[in-house]
Amino acid sequence: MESPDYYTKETLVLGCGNVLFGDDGFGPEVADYILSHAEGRSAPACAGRSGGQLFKIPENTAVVNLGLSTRGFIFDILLSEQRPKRIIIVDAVSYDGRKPGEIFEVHLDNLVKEKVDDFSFHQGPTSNLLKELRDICGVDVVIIAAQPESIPKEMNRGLSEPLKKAVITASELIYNRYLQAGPPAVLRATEPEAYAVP
Amino acid sequence: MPGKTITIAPVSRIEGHAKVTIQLDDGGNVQDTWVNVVELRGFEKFCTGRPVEELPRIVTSICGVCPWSHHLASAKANDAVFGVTPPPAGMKLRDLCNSIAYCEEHILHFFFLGGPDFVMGPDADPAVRNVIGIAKANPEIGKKVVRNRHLGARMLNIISGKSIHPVTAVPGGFSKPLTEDERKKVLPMATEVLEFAQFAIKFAKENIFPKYLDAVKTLAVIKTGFLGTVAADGSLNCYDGKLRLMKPDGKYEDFTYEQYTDHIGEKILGWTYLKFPYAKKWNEGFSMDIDNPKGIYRTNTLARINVADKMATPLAQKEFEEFRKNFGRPAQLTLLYHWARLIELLYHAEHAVELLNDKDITSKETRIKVTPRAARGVGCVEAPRGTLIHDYTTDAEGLVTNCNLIVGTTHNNAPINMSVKQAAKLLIKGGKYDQGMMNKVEMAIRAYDPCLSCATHNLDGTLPVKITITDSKGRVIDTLVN
Repeated sequence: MESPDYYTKETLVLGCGNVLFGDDGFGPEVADYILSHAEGRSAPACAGRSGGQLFKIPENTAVVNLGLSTRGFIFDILLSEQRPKRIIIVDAVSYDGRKPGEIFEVHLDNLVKEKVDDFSFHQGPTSNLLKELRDICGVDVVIIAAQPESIPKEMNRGLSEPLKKAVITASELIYNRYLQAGPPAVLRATEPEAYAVP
Repeated sequence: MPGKTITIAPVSRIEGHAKVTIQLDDGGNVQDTWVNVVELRGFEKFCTGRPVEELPRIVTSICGVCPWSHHLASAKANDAVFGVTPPPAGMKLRDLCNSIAYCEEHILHFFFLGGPDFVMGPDADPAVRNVIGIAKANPEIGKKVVRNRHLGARMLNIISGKSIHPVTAVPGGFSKPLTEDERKKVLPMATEVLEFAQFAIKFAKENIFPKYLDAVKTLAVIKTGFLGTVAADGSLNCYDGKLRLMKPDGKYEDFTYEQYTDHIGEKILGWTYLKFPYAKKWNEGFSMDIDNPKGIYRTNTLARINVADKMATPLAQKEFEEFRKNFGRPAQLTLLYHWARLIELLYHAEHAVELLNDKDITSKETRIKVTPRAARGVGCVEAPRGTLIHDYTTDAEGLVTNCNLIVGTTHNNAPINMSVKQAAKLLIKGGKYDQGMMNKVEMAIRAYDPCLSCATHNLDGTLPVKITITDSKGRVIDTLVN
C-alpha cells in the first residue's frame, strides 16, 4: 500500500479503457478479475462473476487497473531507469470480421488505425508510445484484445454478455500464457503477426 | 488561387482528440479557423437517478488525466448537497492531495507535453521534438522528472491508498486519517519535490524563457478576461475559495460557486459539440473576433496568476512578484501559461510541505456523517487545466435529479479557437506554410494544456498529422501526411 510497486516489477498487466463506456471497460474488468481471484490478495470484486481459476501472481508481476490513466504511466516507464521486461496491455479493440467476445493477440505493428491516430474516449495507450517502449527501451509489448459488441457514444456502464464471458477467458489466458511463464528472456521482436486465440 | 482549407488532425501532445481547420481566402491568407474537439457525452444522463454519494467515486473514471480534480470537486458538491462542512483535517487532506496531484501534472506538462517545443525548439525535427528528445539531450532532467512524478504517486498512495482511481474524498470529509508515521514518510518526499520545483523554474528562467521571448510576445496573443479561484484574502487557492472573474482591463468581481450561473453563460455553436462558456454578466454578448472579442475569458494557470492578489507561500510569492513586474496584470501573452505553470508548481510543492507540517493534518477527525436531503450543491476546484464546476441537485432520498459539469478545458474553448486563429494569421501568408508553422499553431493550443476528451495522447515526433486541403466549397484538393 505504501508505494505503487508496479514501477519496480518485471511484468505489468495493464487494464486499459473507460468503464463508463460499455465494452470499453473490458481491460479494467480483466485487471480487477485477476486481482480478485489472486491468492492472498484483496481487490475490488468483479460484478457478478465468481468461481474460475485462482491465480498465483508471481512476485515480479503487477496487475493494474489503469483505466484511462495510461499516458502518464507509460511516460514514466519510458523514462525510468528500471523498466519492466514485459507489459501486457488489455483493451477492447474492434476489427472487422471478428465476433463480439473473441479474444486475440494483436501485434503492435498491426493495431487498427483508430488505435493509432484517432484519439477518443475509448483509446488505450497510443501505438507510437508503445513502439518507443519496444524499440528504444527493449520492453516486450503484448496486446491482448477483445472484440467489443458495443461501445456507446454516450456514457453507459457495463459490459455486454459476450465481453463478460471474455473477461474470464482473457484473464486465464494471460495468467496461463504469460504470468506463469514469467518475463521473456529475449525480446519477442520477431514474433509473427496477430493471431487468434481460441 | 482559390480559397482552401487546411486541416490538422490530431494535434499532438495534448490530451485527447482535436482537429484544427484553417480556411484560407483566395489570396492564401487565413480567413477563419476552427478547433474541433471530442467532448464527454452523456454524463448528466448517466448520473441522473444515482445516489449522489456515489459520484465522487464514479467521476474518477471520467478522466485519466486529472481524476483527483473531479474526485474533489464532486466531493465538495456532495458536501454542499448534504449541507455539511468537513472537519479541518478532512479539508486539509483533500487540499494536500490536490497539491500533490498538481505537482505531478505540472511537471508532466512542462517537461513532457509543452516542454519539447521549447527545450528542443519549435522548428526542431519532429523526430526529436518530443519527450525522448528531451531525455536524450538532457538525461539528468529526464531522470529527475520521472523520480519526482514517482514521488507524487507514492505520496498519494500513502495518503489515500490509491493514486490512480482515488476513493478517499467522501461526502463530509476524507475517509482515511493520516497517521504520524505516514506523515513522517511523506514529508521528505514533498520536500524533495519542492527542491525540484525550485530547480525547474530556475532552469526555465535561465535556459528556456529568454530564448523564446520573441515567440512569447507574438504567438497566439489575444486579449481576454480571466477566471480563477482565490482565498478570502485574495491569494491563489486551488482547492477552496471564491470565484473571481476579471475583465480584460483588470477589473474584477468575486462570487460564490452557486452564483456561477449568474456570471457564466454557455454558447452553443453548430460546428462543435463542445459548448463555449462566456462572461454573461458583462452583458456584451459573445464574440470570438480576435480584434474585438466579447464575453471571452480564460482559465488555467495564467488566469489564476492574473486573478490572484498574491501567493500564499514565500517562494512562489517571490516568483509571482517578478512575473507581475515583468508582464503586468492581467498578463495576456498566451505562452506565459507555461511560466505561470511553474510558479504554480512551486506554490503547490510549498503548500504540500506546509500542510504536512501542520499538526492538525494527523487528526483522526476527518469526516462527519451526512444525511440525504433534497438540495442543490455546487462543488468547485481549480483543476490544473482550469476551473472545474460540479453542480448536482438531489431529491429527498439523495438521488441525483440534475447534474451539470463545466470542465477546465471547456472554459478555454473560445480562447483556444482565438489563439489558433491569431497564430495562423501570423504564420500563414500567401498560402505558404510548413511543418514548423503547423507546429507553432499547435503550440498555441498546447499552452492551454487542454484535456479535450479525457483520453490518451500522442507522443511520437513522427505523429500522424494530417493536413487536408479543400477548396472554398469543401472539396478535398490535397492531403498531406508527415
